[in-house]
Amino acid sequence: MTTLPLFIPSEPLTMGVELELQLVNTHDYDLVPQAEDLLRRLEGKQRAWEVKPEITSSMIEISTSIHNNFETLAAELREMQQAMVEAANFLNIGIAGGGAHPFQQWSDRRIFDAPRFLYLHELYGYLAKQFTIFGQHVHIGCVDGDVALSLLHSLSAYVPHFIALSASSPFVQGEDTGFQSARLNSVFAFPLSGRAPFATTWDEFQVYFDKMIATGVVESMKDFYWDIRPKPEYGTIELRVCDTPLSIERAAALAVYLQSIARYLLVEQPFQPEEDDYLVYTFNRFQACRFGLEGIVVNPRSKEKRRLGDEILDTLNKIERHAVELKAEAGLKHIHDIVIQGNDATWARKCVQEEGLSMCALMRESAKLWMEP
Amino acid sequence: MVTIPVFESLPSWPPTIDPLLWGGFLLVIAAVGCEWAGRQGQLPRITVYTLLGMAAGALGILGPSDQILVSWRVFIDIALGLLLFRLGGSLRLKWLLDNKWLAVASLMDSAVTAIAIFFVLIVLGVRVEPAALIAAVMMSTSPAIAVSLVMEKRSRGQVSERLLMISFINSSLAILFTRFWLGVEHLSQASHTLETLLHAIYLLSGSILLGYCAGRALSFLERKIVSAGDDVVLLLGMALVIVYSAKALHLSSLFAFVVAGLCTQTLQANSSRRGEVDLLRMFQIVLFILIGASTNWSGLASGSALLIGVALIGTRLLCKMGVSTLLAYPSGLSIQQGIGLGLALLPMAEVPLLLIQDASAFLPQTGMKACFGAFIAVATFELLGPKVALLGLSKAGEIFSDMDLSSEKGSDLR
Repeated sequence: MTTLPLFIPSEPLTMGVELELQLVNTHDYDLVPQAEDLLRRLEGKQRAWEVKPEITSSMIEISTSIHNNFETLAAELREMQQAMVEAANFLNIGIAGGGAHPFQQWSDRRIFDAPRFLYLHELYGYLAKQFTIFGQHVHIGCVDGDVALSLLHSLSAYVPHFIALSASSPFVQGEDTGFQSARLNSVFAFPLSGRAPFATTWDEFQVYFDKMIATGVVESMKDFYWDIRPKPEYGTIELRVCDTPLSIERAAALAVYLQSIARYLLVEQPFQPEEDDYLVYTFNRFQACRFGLEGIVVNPRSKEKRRLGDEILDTLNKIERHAVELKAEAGLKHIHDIVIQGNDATWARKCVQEEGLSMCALMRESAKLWMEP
Repeated sequence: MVTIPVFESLPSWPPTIDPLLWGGFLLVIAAVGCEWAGRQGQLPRITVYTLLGMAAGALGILGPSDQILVSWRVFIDIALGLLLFRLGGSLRLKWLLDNKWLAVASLMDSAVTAIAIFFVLIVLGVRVEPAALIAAVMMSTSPAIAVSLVMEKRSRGQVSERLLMISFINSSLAILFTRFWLGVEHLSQASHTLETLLHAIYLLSGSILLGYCAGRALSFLERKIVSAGDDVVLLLGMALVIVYSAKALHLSSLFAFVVAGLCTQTLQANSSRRGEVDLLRMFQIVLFILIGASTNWSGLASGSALLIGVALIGTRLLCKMGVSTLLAYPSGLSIQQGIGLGLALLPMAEVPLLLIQDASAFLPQTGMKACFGAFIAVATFELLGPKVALLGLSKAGEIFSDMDLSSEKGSDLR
């Protein structure tokens, strides 16, 4: 029987970032199934960072190495971006960020030829192709499994922050969904999505995991599509709710925002996580997906309702000194600018509604943001 | 004798049939034939249209087959033009700078094919002038077939993209070399050398300018004024403007259409692109029926023309396959993709036929034997080429037929 892997301790508050990117053609900017060609071109060009395929052939995932601060993370992301752009230009492929492609049809997608992805296609049917969505995952290093779980539950209160700040998927199948992040609706369709069970120690979590294995519902940790998930092999927790931003800088900024909040939680311990904190979790999450920074979130303890943008500004004040310790000021300034100026979903809507761009033109501009920063 | 006036209003027997009536029947048969061929014979639509056209040409119902390219030229120009416009809109010429090996492969595809064919024809006793013309026209890959197949099968990937790019380059080179050949023939017969050279410059620059103006106007009108749905009407109107302007100004509408496509930013959402696809499909039928009907079979009666035809088929096959496969890896393809591309580059149809038609006035009688051989090769690549090209695209993994989930065992997670 599969057992829960041992939690490998890692250096606290280190970061790693994974970005799922869109591969598009350069005439109508629809998705193209060219991940294999791009991977072949990038063979031997990767260094500490990695490029991997994803479930459908129009997606590619890049993963950074481990970082302590904003500057080195942003530098590596730029290096990866340059290598990707060079390879993409060689093959006449466009690369773009964004949480979802605005006009692709899921039925046109092709499953990447790898055993895991073919298995998922067999199991989940059309959901596998609908999973052609693009997210940013951020790993935070933890010293042990107990700390990881405590941090996971404490960070759950901040999940709406990351959804609203990163939201970049307002359009699906050529239509305005009304959501800032429609991407997460696709994630929620999976049976093992949502939030992790309220286990506060690694031993408790082991019991839960063993029960799930015994039911036959899961085979490994990979089968859980939680918003925050422990990654015992890396010694991290992984935040999975962000849409892929349209720029590298925003990706780095979101990572250090998470890092700074994590430090604030670990050092100041402003509250102990309780199961009742999850009473409002789904509601707050919906508010962030639907309304972004204008969403109204509820504090489960004080019962106070607050605009999400204001909540983020308040958090930025609270974590400021931690950001200084982590040399994350530049990243947090970027977060502040998002709250004031609007996120990528707001930009996309402005392009379409105010400037009259078509969906194809919107994708062209998104690809330009990534490929010609 | 008493005449009964009412019988004067009745038609004579047999009635006088306008060829367009037969055209209508052909369209009906084309639609029915495609459905049957798709189910039974797995043939591409354009092969069905070509076969239909060949039958119509043999029966003479669209007029004498050796006059088809003249009497129906306007329809051919509009149909081909719209497909070339679509081709132009799919190209990013900067790719040739970003991937210099692609540029090398594109040029080598044309150069190796043309040089090999030239020498084969010389060895077979063909004179230099017709050998040069045939070598020039046979380097081309049919852009109409390339665009049609990519559209019909919605193929996507490196091979599909390169098929469009290379067919654009080798067809453009074929047109340029043919114009150059015509210019040389003019020079040898005319006394005004400067006039001839200026005409060549005028032709090229004027065609590019016409295409540029049409493309920019189309782009502006689509973006600012015309709503989705009416853009297809706009496109058709612009096509007529290009064809008749080129005719009036003695320019090349083929070049103008490609340039218009390159300049046009018709970044419409899927819904309005569907309208364009329907328009293109209609004109695609017209084009391939007419090209099929113009097929010249006289070479089959001549042993030497047959020999030339077979030699041209073999040489072109080897050159296209060889260059694509050899240059696959440096240009970023796998070997399988290189082979697929070689197969996809084989179809040939409208470009050589139209170019030879345009040059026919300057061909000596002794050159016609070689041309009949070329017609045999063109007919072969026209008929078999699309199916072979589809095989190439399929082998490269770029034609995707969705598989329904065979398993309903949703509860079994192992």
